[in-house]
Amino acid sequence: MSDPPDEPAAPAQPAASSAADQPTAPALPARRLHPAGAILSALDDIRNALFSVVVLIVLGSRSANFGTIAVLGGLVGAAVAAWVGYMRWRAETYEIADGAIRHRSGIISPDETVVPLARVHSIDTSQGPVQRIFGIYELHVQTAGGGEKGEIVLRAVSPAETARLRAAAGLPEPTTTDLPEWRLSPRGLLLVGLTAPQLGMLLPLVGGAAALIDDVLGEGTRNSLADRLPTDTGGILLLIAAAIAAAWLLSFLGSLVTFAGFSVVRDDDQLRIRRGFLQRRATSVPLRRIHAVSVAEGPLRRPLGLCSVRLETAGYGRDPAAARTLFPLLPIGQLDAQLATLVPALASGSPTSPQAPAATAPHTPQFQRPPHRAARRYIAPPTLTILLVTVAATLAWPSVWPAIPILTALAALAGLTSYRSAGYRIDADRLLLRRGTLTRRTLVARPNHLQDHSLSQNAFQARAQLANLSITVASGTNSTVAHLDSTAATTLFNRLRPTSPSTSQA
Amino acid sequence: MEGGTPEPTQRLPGQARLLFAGRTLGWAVPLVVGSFIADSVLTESGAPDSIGLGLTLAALALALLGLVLEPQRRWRNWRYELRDEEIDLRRGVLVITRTLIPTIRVQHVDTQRTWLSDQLGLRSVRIHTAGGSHTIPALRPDEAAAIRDRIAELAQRPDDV
Repeated sequence: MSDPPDEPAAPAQPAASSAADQPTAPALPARRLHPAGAILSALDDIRNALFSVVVLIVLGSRSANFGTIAVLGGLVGAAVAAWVGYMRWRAETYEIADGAIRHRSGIISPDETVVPLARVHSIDTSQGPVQRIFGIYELHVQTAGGGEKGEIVLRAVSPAETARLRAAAGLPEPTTTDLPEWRLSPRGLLLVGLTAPQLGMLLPLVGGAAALIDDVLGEGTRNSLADRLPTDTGGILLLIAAAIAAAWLLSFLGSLVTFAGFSVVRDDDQLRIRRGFLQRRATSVPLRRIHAVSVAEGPLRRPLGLCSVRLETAGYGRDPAAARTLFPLLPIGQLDAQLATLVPALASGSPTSPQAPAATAPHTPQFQRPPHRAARRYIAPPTLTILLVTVAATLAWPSVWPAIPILTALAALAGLTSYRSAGYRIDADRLLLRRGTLTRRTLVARPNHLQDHSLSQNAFQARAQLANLSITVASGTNSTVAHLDSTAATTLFNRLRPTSPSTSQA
Repeated sequence: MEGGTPEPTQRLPGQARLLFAGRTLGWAVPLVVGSFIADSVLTESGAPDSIGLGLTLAALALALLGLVLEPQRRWRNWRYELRDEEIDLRRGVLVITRTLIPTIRVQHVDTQRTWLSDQLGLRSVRIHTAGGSHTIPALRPDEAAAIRDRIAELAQRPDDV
């Protein structure tokens, strides 16, 4: 079962092998990963075994000679993990032959992945802590299918080997000199953390963690803790403030780890994005696949004139948000200039911000807002919903009556905010759809690269001559502007029609 | 929605109404059964009969709307049209939605059948783009195959996704 595949077992093969130099058939003979791959593999095994180890320790802690057993078990476990890691490292090879990258791995049932070189658009690098200790890279062979994780992942490759692999695959070595670049400054990084949008999402997590701690501590402790819980309003407020502060801190640290060292460069027809503190990643995105960007102005960022920008790219739609970030934080005033250098296809025409002075380009099309008669349609639904809910809650618990005026007023304000955010602007090369309540979101798309667009209307809207317009871009992101004047919406709907294949190929 | 774009003209076959009604059963049956259970529980616990009765009647009325009126309206509103550059869909019961899909954005098309659609001699056609998918829910098998092949042919033109 432990027989490695019959490969030429020569990890230290001479660098300039004759096959690699043949210009007609680029080839790289089969080779293994950097020996650190064995360590990574062993660490994976240990991590996978961690749960059973914890169970064993809990069970074993009752035994008298627990210490001896634990040490012995740990040593045996580490030895097994190291051996399995070594065997797996021996079984894993990659080569370039017959115009394809071939990757074999697995001890018992070897898997082989073959990716034709013609389909490889880049070989991206990533560095985790282990890779950084050894000065090596994790390589992701990226194809048109997209996604942050490559079609083939080689977890330990030395820089020299990386260069050789790229050369054999006919890919240019990424350069970073003299290219249009944008970097996140240390001050910017701090601001990203302080204004992180994940704040709201983290609150339930803190609650969950509290519940977990509660569970772990056991009933006795819980009761005593509960006794010590403050019951007066001041104490509860203090507790809430502490929870928010904890969430903020977590979110702050999370943003720091994710976006430390963030930089974007445009290299010819692709963007290369680097980021990360513990895990350093370098991703490349072909420019022609960027069909849109979405600009988010969060509640903490908007008052400071700041926004974050995400790429809407075919094939990357299901990746985590961080993997699609173009600018973690950018003054909104700089957006158009930065887009012009990095994503020129989305930069031409009128300014992104409706507040931008019209004097710079007097002939630019206006930012179109929903008509005044639409305002109550934005405001009434949230207001009435909250009013009903709070009234019902008051009927059940009379003491919560102050919620009726406060929350209802907030809901009305939210409705008014979303009315004031909504609108669109179109010119020859780009379409802007804006909407949002707390976070104002603007989708900046190439009008001739939409996946579909829709116009919808219910009976009430038909009577008031209003309609909703929505578009879908290749990442699957959909944006709707509600309650536009129906004539204007129809005009836009017709303008977005694909006219002929030649224009949409431009 | 007048002007520029001509309205789509093709309608779904009449059996589509039965298909829509069949789908309604998926939520209507649990709803009515649930209302019966709620009624008996309420009666057990000594609540006035009128509450349970009202609940049951409301559930029955909702199910009836879903079985008769909703399929009829959905069928009446459904229109589609295939043009060289675009696929035009218009549908909806309370909200009428009109969608245009450029044919060069179509990645693939498939026809689908379920047990119910087989009984009614219907197929659905699903149109996939990089951004999602759209379905024409009920077509006669020959129509469905023709539309599928036609869209596939139109979508041959290269796209740069």
